[in-house]
Amino acid sequence: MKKIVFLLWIVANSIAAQNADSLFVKANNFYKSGEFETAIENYKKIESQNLISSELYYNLGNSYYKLNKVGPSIYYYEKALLLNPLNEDVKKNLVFAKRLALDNIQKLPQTFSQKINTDYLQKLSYDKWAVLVLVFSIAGSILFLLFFFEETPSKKRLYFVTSIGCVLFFISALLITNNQYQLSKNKTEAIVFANKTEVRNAPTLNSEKIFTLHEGTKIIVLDMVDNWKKIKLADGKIGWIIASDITLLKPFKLN
Amino acid sequence: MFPSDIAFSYFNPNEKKYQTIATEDLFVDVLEGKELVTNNNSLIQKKTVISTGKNFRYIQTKSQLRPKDSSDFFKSNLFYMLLLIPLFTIPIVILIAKKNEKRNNDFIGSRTRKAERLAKKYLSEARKQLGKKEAFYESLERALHNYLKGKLGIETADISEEKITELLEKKEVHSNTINEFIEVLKHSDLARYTPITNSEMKEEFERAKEVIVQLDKQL
Repeated sequence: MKKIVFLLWIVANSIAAQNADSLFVKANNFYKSGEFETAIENYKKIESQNLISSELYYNLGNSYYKLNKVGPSIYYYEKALLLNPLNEDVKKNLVFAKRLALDNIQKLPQTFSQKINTDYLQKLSYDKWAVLVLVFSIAGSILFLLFFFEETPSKKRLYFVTSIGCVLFFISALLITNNQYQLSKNKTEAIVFANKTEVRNAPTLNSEKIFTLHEGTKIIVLDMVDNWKKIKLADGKIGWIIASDITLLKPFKLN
Repeated sequence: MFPSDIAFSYFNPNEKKYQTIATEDLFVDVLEGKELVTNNNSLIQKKTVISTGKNFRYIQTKSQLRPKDSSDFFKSNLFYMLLLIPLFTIPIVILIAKKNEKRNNDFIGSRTRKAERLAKKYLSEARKQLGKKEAFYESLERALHNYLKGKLGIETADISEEKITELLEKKEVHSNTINEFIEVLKHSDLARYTPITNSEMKEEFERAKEVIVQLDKQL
């Protein structure tokens, strides 16, 4: 009985996958013929099947861009980058989409370590770093065993040095992985979807306005109170915004 | 080529004539320099590709869709397992290797023990006769012969020193051991007719035992 259920589950899964793949092709064809709204509909059908990919989000972003909807376009590009930080097409088109956004926010200058973090370490997701950790740990232990059983002094030395190197790489990769993991778990970003929205200095409607944001601006979510979210801009400005005006790139989690 | 434009005219008093001599043309091989302008129409004009700045990229047509809520690999049980496996394999492999080495050493040890047991069995009679000269040497010689009979399958009748040497050499026994064996045999033959002390007898017994152990290891 269990086997039959399992088989059925596999069959159902593969049918769903086939269905999703054919939906993807269909949506691509709609995009090609310029029917962007229908294309978006089909792409979203795939997403509602709980199947996602970087390419799916990229295509959604493209479709919204063609419809001149800056907010959703940037939102889906950012989502695509979250899944695959190395997707070149996304990075290129995100530049186009950002040109349509009104807000010009100067990024705070980065420190040396922050620069290394964004330029190199974030090129791999923490899961990929985790794979690297395992590779170094296995290579290190094999080299250590070779070192242990080797009789020739020159080879023994070579194995010793390489195994020590592997251990060092292993430790640093493990630290980086954990760091990336914490960063990605704790940092929640969001995109402004409302055409124009006021950011206030307190989570109430009668509080002082600090600045105005426009569609497509990326913000970091720090805190939430009722239907208000405390946000931070790339230039360091902090304020409170109505939650419905923004869309979170991933669920916000209070620490 | 440098044309010869340096000329020198002089009056030759011998011939009473004016004469002119000029430098010879100077040829220089030109290795490098500006290209000569030639009207070669076959040269292809290369054009740099200039983008219009409107290269908004097209959608991606290939995609590997995966479940949305796929759990993280990092900090998963599989990750921890794979992380710990190498840590556990190092001591395990080292332990297994050590054990193998010990067993290999023990293999030699067990062979020696077996050979000693065999030697004791053959020499048990001689051991009982320790002290009684005649009987001891008789039984010692018999023990050695019996051992050879059992090991090589030869009759007591055709045992001579040469025959034994030949047989053992065929079995690739070390010549030192063969000599020792022959020596013990000879000595026991001789000792029957010479005065011998108890301690010498004991020594002889130990020697015979040692020879049998050595032989057994090599056969």
